[in-house]
Amino acid sequence: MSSPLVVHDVSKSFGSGDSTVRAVDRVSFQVEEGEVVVIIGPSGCGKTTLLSMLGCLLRPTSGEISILGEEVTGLSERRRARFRLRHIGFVFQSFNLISALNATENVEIALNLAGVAGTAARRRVSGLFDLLELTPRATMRPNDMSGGEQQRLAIARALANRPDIILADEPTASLDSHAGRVVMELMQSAVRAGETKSLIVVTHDMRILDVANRVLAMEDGVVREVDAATIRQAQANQAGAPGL
Amino acid sequence: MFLSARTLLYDRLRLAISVGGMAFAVVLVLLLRGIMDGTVEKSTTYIDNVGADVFVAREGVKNMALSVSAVPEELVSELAALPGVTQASGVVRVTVTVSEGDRRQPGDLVGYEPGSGLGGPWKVTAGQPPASAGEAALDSVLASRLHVGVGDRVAIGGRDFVITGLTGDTTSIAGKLVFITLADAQILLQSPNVVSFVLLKIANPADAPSVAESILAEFDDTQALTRAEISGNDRDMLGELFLAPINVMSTIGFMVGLAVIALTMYTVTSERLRDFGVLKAIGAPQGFLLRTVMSQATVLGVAGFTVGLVAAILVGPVVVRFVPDIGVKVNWEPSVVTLAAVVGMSLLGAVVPVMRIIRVDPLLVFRR
Repeated sequence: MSSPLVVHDVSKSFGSGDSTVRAVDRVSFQVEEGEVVVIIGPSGCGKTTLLSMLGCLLRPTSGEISILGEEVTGLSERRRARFRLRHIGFVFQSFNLISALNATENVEIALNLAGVAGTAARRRVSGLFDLLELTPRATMRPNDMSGGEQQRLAIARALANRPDIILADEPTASLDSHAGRVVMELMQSAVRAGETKSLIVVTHDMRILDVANRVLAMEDGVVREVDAATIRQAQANQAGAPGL
Repeated sequence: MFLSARTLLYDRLRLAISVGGMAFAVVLVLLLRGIMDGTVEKSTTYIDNVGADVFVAREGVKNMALSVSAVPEELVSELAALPGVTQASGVVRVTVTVSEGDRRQPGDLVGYEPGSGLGGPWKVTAGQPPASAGEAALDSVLASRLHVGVGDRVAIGGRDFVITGLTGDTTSIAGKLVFITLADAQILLQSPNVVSFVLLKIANPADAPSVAESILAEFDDTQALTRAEISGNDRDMLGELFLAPINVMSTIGFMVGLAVIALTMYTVTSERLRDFGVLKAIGAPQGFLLRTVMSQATVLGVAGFTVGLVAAILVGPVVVRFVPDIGVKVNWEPSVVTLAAVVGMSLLGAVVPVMRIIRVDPLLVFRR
């Protein structure tokens, strides 16, 4: 069985001449089915640029990205949009929910775009709301919901079309520790339940490492695989060091 | 579609202001056009209601309004003898000044033969029509402006008359009708044995065109027109006088409407640009986003039109109450044209927002 996601020698540069900035530098890795991969790194290291390329929102300067066996970097903008709709779910730090729509409609719109409407759409929304414990909030507007509820709603929207991959950009950054843990557990359980094949989370929140199968550390545009236990130990040592 | 509706309904105050602004522009356009149509229609009230099927005037005279006609009075009896003509009556029609004390008003004088039953007032709201010399029936609006009523005296063309009656539906932009006897009118004009028009009643009104044609063929120096023709000529002439200023005002109305829609769409889209970016990021095709904006603009336009149409219909009678000289008639034809223009205008107003949406970068979803 082929890997849902294969990244091969991908680079991304911005600017030209002397002012060229290489945000992502010859990155290669792959993600297997059922995996939760966490990409950590400091701000400005290129995590979001990498995530944008994985999500078919940004073309790499060089290299290849294959999702479900399809090389996506060469697709037209229109085909990339269609690919995103069918195969990729997004969860963002700032939720990015549509404030004019209520919770149900925020999920329904993703289904409608994929051609699912009426009873089928309502049934799917109901199932997701049960899974994500959002049923009592079904008719509420996002602005009337807590941060944790909004992020769960964003996850429901991301899962609506049963995407093959979910890409999450700092999904816990706007949440308190309890809400953050709930959100990560729900995303992990969505992978286990087969709602999506893989989950890739970009973060600098070390608490998330608990749910990761693999951890990739990114620095200055370069990615290397690290051991989660080692990272956690290093964090613990750093936190306990005198004067810190 | 629900995204369009929800986005518009999200800020109800702005929606109300936008629809109100649009409706204002539509009222302006429909009311101006309605005033033109109503006033022009009202201007032929004498022709339309006097009961004549054919109007005979001096050769070359094709209008009753703003025209001068004089034909010999003996023509009346000659025309009465024509086959198919059941009644013929001569009338004098001329513009005069009607005064009472210091108050003076212009009037459209009609001198007619009271005994003929043709050419006189068709709706008497008070008193009686004039029956003999020195008597007059005044349009009720004219009478109220002169502060006179039945039994009072007024000066018409410098001669003294007693008001025997007041008439209704006789006010128009072309003038307010004043009825006196034909003999009195001829004395006023110092033109005995002369009438302005000869009015004919035809046994079968459907034969009016053929009777008019035979008059043209048989009588030199005359012009014979059916009621529809002379009424149409007057309406066309007055319509043309109105048309240029009405078009200017309508264009201003449309520009106001366009500005309202464009501004609303621009504001709504600017505020929701991130939403459109999110939809683009999750895979919404460009067409869906454009349809959303277009349908918003169309809904806004149609809502503004509907409110404007209802307002124009309701405001019309109020305008006429304050300015009885004019009429207001909101016809379906200009309404349909206005609706089409409003929808076109709405889509035009959505052009700039559409351009912004096409350019919006879905990567904005990663901005905090």
